[in-house]
Order: sequence, then C-alpha cells, then structure tokens
Amino acid sequence: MAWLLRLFGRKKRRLVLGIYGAPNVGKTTLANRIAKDCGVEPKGIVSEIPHETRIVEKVEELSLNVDGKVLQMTVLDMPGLATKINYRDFLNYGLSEEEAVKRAKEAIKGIIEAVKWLDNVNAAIAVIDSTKVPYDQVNIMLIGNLEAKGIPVIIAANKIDLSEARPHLIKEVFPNHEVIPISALTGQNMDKLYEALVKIA
Amino acid sequence: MKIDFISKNALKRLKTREKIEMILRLVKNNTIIVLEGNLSLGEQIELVKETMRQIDPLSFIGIEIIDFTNAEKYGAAKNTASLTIIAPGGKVEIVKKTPNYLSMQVS
Repeated sequence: MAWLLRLFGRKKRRLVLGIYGAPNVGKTTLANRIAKDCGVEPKGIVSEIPHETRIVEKVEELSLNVDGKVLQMTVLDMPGLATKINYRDFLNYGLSEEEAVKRAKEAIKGIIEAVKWLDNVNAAIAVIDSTKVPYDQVNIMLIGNLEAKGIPVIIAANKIDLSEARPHLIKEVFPNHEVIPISALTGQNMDKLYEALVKIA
Repeated sequence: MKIDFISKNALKRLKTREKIEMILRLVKNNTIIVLEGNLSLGEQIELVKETMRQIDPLSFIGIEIIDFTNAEKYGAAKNTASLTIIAPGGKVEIVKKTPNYLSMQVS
C-alpha cells in the first residue's frame, strides 16, 4: 500500500499536532493564533504565571487554506514540560500557599499527560522562547524523543517581536532541524509556519 | 552537597528502571550525580515522568538534568550524552554552556 501511495502521490493527512515546549514559551498564544487563523474562536487562557495550561487543550476540526492546499488539523496545546515544579515559585505571583500547592499538583499531572501524548500525535511544533538561552534540557529531550518516534517536528523560535530575541542561537543549537522564527503574538512569519506544516502533512 | 560520579560500565549493567530508581534515590538524598554518558533521551523522558510521580511539593521539587554534549550530536541517531549531570531541583544553575565548556553554580 505504501508503495502505491508513493507512486500516485499522497493525500494530505489530518495532522494531530502537538504544541510542546517549556512553560511560558507561548504555546497557548500559538494555539490561539492557529485557531484564530482557522476562523475558530480561541479559547486558551494566556497568563504570566507558569503552568497556566495544566490539561491538554484540544481544538479539533481546524482547516486552513495554505496557497491552495488545505491543511486539516487537530491542535493539542500541551502543558509546559519541566523537570521540576516548585510551588513556592507561584507564591511570587500572588497565589496563596494552598492555591500554589494545588497548582503544582495539577502541573505535575499535566506534564505526565503531555509526555503520554507523545505517542498519539503525528506532528509537533516545539516552541522555544527566542529571548532565552536555548540550552534547556527539556527542549533537547523533547525534540530528540519526537525524532526517535519518527514524528516530524518543526521548531518555532517564538517571541521575535521582542528586541532581545535571538532566534539564530536556536538554529545553532539545532542545525539539523527546521527552525522558524515567529511571533505568535503578532502573527509574524505564521505563513512560513503553515507552509512548513503543509510539507509534513 | 555531595557529588557522585558514575561510570559508563556501572550504568551498562542496569536496566532503565534500575537507573531511574538509583538516580532518584541519590538526588533525593541531596546528591549531584555525574553520569559518564549512557542516559539516552528516551531514558531521560522516563526519568522526568517518574520524577513527576515522586514530587512532593513540600519535600522534593524535582530534578535538574544537564547534558554536556556537543550540540551537533543532538538527535535520535546519537542520543547519548558525553556527560549527564542530574541534580536536586533548584540546586544548580547553568552559568555558561557551550559545546566545549560548562560552568554551573551550585547553591
């Protein structure tokens, strides 16, 4: 069957697109931007407090015309991946001790859930904050694991609207991957991201 | 804070589950571990999952994982690190990291 598909061309598959990355890199802003560009009301809540997204947020039946090609996808906005959760960090944002501990426990569950979803997505965007040094092991672990599972991954170097953004550093760290500098907030370069998604669909 | 160095040979004998148990036991005991390679990215993600299961907001906040690997090696084909450093969460901070140099602040 596979050789027939190769011979006669392949129908674009529906992407089950996981949006992954560390906390506060702009995953929900990106998911909202994609939904909006597809004509769907964005529902993700964006917050400066880390781990705002603590369950996998699914937006289904999205469809976008990209240069005459129809990109169909389900977008999964994943909880931010981290190797540690310190509830005290949340106290700095005005949360009570009880609220902070509750948020930490929910964030922990969210991380486990996001990791489990690695087996159920067929494409991924790894969002990296281009205003920060890109050596966070979470990024390396995430991209390596996606690759090992044969899941195509595009790296979105986000927040290029900020003056301190250095997306070239991300390209240096991941020279063998497609890195697209974007601003999910302003929509800059989203067309390039959609073109890259069409290629892997 | 104690630092333990564990050789590639010592790790080779252990299954993934055993490595993770050993790492978490040491880290929870306030030890920084320096592994000579051999912790694959797949094992690292399993370590993260198990760490999340064991976090207790009041006594164990998780871990830091630092791969000291040439950036060009990142990827599925060569997913082992030259050195892997695992520390109790919040106890180490990277001051500088390049493919050839790693500087960390231990608190």
